[in-house]
Amino acid sequence: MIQDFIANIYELWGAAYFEGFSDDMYNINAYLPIFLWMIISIIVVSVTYYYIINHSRLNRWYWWGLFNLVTSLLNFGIAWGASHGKLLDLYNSQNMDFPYSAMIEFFPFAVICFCWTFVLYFVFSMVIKWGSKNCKHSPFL
Amino acid sequence: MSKVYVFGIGGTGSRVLRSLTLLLASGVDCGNDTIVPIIIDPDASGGDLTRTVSLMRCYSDIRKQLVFDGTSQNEFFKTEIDQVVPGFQLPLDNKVQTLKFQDYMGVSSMTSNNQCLMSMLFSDKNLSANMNVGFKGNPNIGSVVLNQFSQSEDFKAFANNFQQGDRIFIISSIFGGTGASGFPLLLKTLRSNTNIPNFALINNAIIGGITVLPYFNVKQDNSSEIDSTTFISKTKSALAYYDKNISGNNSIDALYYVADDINNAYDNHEGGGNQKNDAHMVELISALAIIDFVNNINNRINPTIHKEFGIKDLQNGANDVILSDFAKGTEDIIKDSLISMFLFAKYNNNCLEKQYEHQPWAIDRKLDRAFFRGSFYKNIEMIQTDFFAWLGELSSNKRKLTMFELGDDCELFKSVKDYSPKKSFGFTKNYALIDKCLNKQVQSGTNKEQLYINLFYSALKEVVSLKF
Repeated sequence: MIQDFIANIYELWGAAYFEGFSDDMYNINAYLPIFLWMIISIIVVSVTYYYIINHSRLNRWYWWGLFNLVTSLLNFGIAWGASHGKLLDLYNSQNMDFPYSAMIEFFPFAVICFCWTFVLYFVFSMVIKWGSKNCKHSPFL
Repeated sequence: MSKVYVFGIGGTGSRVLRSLTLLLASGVDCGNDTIVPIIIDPDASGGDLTRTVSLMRCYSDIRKQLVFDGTSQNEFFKTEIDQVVPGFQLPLDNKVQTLKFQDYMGVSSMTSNNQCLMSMLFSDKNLSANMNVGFKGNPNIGSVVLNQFSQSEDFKAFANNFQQGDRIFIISSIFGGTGASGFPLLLKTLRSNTNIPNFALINNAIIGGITVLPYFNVKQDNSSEIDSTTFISKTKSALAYYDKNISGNNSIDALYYVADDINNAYDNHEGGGNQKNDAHMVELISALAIIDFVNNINNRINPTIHKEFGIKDLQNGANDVILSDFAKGTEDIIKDSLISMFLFAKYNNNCLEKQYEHQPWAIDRKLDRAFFRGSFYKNIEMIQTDFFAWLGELSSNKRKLTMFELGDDCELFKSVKDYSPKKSFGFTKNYALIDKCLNKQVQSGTNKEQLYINLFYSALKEVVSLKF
């Protein structure tokens, strides 16, 4: 159930379904750890930004944007690295040629992860920002 | 709440009132009393006087928009400065402004015997002197002319306002003309005149005064009637007079003396707009005498109590004074308040414009562009501009009193001379620390002026305790 939901997220409810790649990702349950990394990284970075750093000079939109960008890039890398690694293990274990290419499958998938991270970081920021003393209006400054 | 009527006589009176106003703006504790400044100076266009009057007006305008009902911690502008006489000035007879001394006295219509007596008492220069810029260091002229102020409507307005429990303080210099002559005359009027309203209250009021002994010279100018070589001899004879007629007869409860033996030589101006001397440590100390009087002299005292002011031994024979050279009692009175106002002014000067649209302390309370372009903030800016000017003048005068580094190249918390800022945990520094403390404040309300001042007072109090 959760696996289906997460798969739908990354496949954009069919709009970003890559034949073979998406099936393999689903079958080896590779979406879940990538999703969990995304959620954890968003929580850690945004809580750090709003409550630990909580700096009066870092409350402009561009500082918030930088933290979000770094988190999104991190997840871009995680998505690429984790999916590539897991699928490579899968095909190596079956002594089969690796059928996926960087630009056709991995890059679009990593971009989707990047975009989801960016969006969810924004949503999560909207939820938690109110308790921050110095950054409560970020990113709208 | 009682009132303390502070008479500032002559240029020194105005300059001391300037220091007092800036101390009160900084939040130096003056009890619950209202200060009512009354300037007596025939030189109505004098630079010292006009600068002080506009500063006090500005202070009063700010103070009117603030409420001190015990619900807020704020001490900035806490003491009310009330205006009982228009423009804080006791105007002298118009004749003083327009006539020469001899015409004022009617010498030409005197008998020849009286004319001879006049020429014994007054030099030709005295008799032909214009009085519209003061008495130019001639107390013998001042003692005649100032004798009439008790008849003025404004003096009666002061007397009418006087109530049980109110006190009086008189600021004067002893080595000039206006202050030296005005002080004994005013005191005599207050103690013995029975033709003024509320005379019973006024005659028995608690009265204090500060007599400022020579602390500056003026450059020698043969065309000027002011000659600083006479300051010491005038002081000696005035002190001898005070010994009998002020302290000697206990007509004053507390008499403060302040002097300095390191003198600056100012340009020699007889009066008018050019007579605008730089602020001096002696004037700050004189203002502290008023604070001391307000906080400590609450009963008639017999015999007169005399107070002088001292500072610690200066290190290595240095002549310049810093904040920590004051004794602990003085330091406790002014240190935190002056540092707070300094940080407040620095923030407004260097940081506010860049930050107020981005910081929650301003956004949440709608302290917006309209507020920071409004008259209240303009008045705050004006006070703080004069505060910086005052600090600058103190630190460039002789003797120097350098409490702060005024340049912008110095790190904010290292600007307080001789006080190394404490190291604090975290990586928020300089103005960002002030914003951090502002953003922590929880005050709310609808009076934006009150909110703004409360916020800064509370935040800066925290900053000062964190760093000093």
